[in-house]
Amino acid sequence: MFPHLKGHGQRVNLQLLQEANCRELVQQLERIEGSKVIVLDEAMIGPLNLVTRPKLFADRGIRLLALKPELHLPREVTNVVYVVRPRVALMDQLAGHVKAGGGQAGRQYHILFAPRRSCLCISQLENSGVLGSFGRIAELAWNYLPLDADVVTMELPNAFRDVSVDGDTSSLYQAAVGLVQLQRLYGRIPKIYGKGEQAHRVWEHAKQLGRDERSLYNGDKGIVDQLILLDRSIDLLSPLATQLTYEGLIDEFYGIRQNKLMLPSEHFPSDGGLGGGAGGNIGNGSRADESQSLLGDGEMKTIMLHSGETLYAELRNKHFNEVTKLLARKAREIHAQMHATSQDKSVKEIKSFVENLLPQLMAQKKATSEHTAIAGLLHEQVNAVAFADDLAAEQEFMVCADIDKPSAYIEDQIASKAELRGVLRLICLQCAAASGLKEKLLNHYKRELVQVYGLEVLLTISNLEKAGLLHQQTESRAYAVLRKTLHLTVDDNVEVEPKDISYVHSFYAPLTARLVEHSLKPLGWQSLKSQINNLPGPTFEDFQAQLVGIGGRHTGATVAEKSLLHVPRVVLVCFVGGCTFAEVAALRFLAAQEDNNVEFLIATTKIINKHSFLDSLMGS
Amino acid sequence: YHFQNAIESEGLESNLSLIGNAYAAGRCTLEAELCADTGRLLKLQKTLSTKYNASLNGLSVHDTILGLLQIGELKEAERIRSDFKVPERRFWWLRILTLSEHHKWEELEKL
Repeated sequence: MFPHLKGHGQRVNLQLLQEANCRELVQQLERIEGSKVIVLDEAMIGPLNLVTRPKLFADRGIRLLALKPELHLPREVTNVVYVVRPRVALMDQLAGHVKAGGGQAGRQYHILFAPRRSCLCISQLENSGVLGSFGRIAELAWNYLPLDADVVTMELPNAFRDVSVDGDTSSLYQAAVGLVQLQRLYGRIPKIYGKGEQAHRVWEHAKQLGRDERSLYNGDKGIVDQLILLDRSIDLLSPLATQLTYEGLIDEFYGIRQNKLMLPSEHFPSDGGLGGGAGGNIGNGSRADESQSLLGDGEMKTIMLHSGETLYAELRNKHFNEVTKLLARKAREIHAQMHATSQDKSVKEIKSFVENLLPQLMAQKKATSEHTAIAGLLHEQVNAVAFADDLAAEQEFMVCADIDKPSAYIEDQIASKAELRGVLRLICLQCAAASGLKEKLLNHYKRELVQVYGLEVLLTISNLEKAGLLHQQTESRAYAVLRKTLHLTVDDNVEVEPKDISYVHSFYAPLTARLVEHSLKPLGWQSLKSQINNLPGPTFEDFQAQLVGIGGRHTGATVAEKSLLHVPRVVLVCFVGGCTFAEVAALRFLAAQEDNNVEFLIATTKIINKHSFLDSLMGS
Repeated sequence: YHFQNAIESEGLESNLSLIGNAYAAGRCTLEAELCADTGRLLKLQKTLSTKYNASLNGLSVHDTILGLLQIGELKEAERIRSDFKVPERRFWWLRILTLSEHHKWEELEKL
């Protein structure tokens, strides 16, 4: 149903996952008889779009509505199905609906909790006295949702905050359930490496769940050869750093939600009859259109951004400075091809051109013009003085320059009362790079912040402290050491046609991606172990061998493995607590290197960027 | 000892000493000190507000100084600066900003 999920030559076919998720929803819906209307929690609209298309519901005559406190349910429907995240606050809204629509005879209410029901929610319904009105209360076991051919996400934006600030570990459990689910689809994963407290807990949960499902591990090794579980808390610098890939920049300035980018349509040349405002993105236009009407946003243009769009797939992971050049070249190529035909004399050739090549060219031209417009917008932002200053300050921290002193730039930012989020980001960056701030410095920043932004800032700061983003200096200088041993910063950086993953932040290589890179080498993990000892959290490894007793097959398995040597290994990299597009880009870059002979599948709780990461932590 | 958060969200003047004590109990000396400062500031703001007929209540130290500078009360601003240990650097930022805002270029030059 989603062609972009099946990448070229990718060994893991995520369409399977998408179909499994979709099937689950359909099964749940089919168990409810009669006409239905689905009411969607706002947080579920995105995930739903990743798995299904509006057509699925249209075919079954199901209407979709967004969940709002005052909602007018169509009179004639007999079933109201709520698809919600298990959040207590939402239950009051549901109760309100039930009470308001109580007069309707024969109407049934149902709830599908995604991904898990919660006792709190149910008792909340009970307390408001409406639990009896609900017919089915079921779970929709959507854990990992396919985002792209090599990325799955849980779409839990607050996962890191929940665990580290609020102490709510349910997202870890969900991640574990998801891992078991993935193994069910794609087979047993024989080798597991991991680092970090939260990652370790995910794996403990997954092991436990796996034990209940012995059959899972009896079979042969699955498609995925290796699992690397990485904790966000081991690397808090990378999510705060400014991403300099095309995709990362788009996300930071405009926000990419479930592969969709919304921009004011005034920035784009009008599509001229090509399926109205949002059309044109071959094959996806109609889908974008419909989801747009669901969100009720007419002024915005929706652009699909995933590997299904050929041009975007090429551009997304490139450093922004390279993108402009690429776009210019693309435009020239198209121009040349368009005009090459005027010299061709034979009518037959022209005919075949018009029939075959022209539509392709037109699509290419359109995509190019779209991305040129986006790149132009980004260019303006990137060239702003503030952006350059911010970046310069950030990069100074990365190379550990003057790291223990109060930064004059940060002080100036505070003094001019710049946006709090940006200021905190820089302070956190300094803290991450220095592996903690000296007590005096930390207090100095705190005092400055409170004097300028008011006492409320203390609350935010205490959140950041709990999450480990701000802390006093510890003995070991983890970052400074690793910067040397793992070459986190590279001196001779090349942004165009890079040779090293550090290009994603101009010269800084995200620690997480570097860890993965090293673990690919023979005995890589063993040698890494001692190096990453001073990062927080345990380092662990595990093997899921075939169960003894099925024996005798073991030799056969190794032979099969040997014959597979030339086939790329598949490594599932699981980011517990979210990852950035820059990290994704870095991993894709590694996979593209010939001698690594590897293919990545990336699992994350959510794609984050420097803004969304801090926002999730700052809110109360 | 993070229960101070719960109290703080009330954000009321009368709670300030309570919060300050909570912080002190939790051995966050700096935070306690800042709470005490805020308490002092709120009192000061009240007197100033009536004196100059301006609304300064509830503002941060920084904004209070800014407000005072804008109505031209340099002396009061200086007093707050020394009272609350505002770094020179930031104070001059404010002075320059306000002076240029009011197009008092001659005074700016004198500085």
